[in-house]
Amino acid sequence: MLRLSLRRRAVSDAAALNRFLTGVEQRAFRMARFAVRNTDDALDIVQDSMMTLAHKYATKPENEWAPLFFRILNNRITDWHRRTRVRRSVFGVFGLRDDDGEPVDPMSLAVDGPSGEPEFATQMNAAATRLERAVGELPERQREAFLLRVWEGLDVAATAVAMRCSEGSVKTHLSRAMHRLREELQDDWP
Amino acid sequence: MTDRELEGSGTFAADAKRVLDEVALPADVVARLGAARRAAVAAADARLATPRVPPRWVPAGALATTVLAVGLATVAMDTRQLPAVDDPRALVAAQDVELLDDLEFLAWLPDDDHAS
Repeated sequence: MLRLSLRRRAVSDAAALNRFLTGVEQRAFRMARFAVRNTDDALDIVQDSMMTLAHKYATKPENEWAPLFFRILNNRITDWHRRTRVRRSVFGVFGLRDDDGEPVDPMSLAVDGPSGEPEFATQMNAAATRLERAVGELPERQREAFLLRVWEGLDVAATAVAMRCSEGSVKTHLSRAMHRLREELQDDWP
Repeated sequence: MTDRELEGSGTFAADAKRVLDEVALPADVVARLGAARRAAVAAADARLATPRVPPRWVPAGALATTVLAVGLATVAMDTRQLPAVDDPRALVAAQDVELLDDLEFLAWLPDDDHAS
């Protein structure tokens, strides 16, 4: 009896989780891609975030999933940057350096440009290309605030949970991001 | 920037959202995202369907906590039963009074030597 009721609950929870992940997966992928500029790494980050949410937080109330999921995603992106920095410094020790004398990570040679691979570029119009480039050039925290608030539609409190910062910081980051994007894109956009 | 300020930021935010939403991902990326999602949902499904058995240390921990709580309660009750006395000498049994007097005498001796 207990097993049957657990099974029923699991099926409904799993269906809700499936709906939630279907709704966020593409935006999550592009957020990760904005940050790491590499399709495979972005996919790994999203997959890992999905697994962590499913393993640790599937039993949490559904309305808590979005801030938790994006918090996990941001943590994975930060981990990726940390690993990349370590790798870069290790390869710097072995003398692999760029023209300015900075250490070069061989993996960074595989990193895509701001607008991504050709297949991405062909599917974007001019407005999207300009916006992608401008968003990609934002500082990390401003980009997170902009994407979570404007694109994902999280409120200030949920964004603060996702970004592990105060609500005041979210407002500041978003305000700066909007100001910078407006300046970058000017009035003739989109 | 609050919700109201964001709404009041003209059409910029809405345009940005629309433009970002319009970009379609390549089919292979969509397929890989779908596979990742299905794997995550399957993992959650398996986890949710399994009744959670408490770890083995939980009963032992509960027993140890109970024993400790009972012990502390017993000690607390014993302490409360002690009579409140102003002079600790009142607690000394009658047969120890002589010993107490001797001790006072011995303590007095050095003072007396210094005085003389």
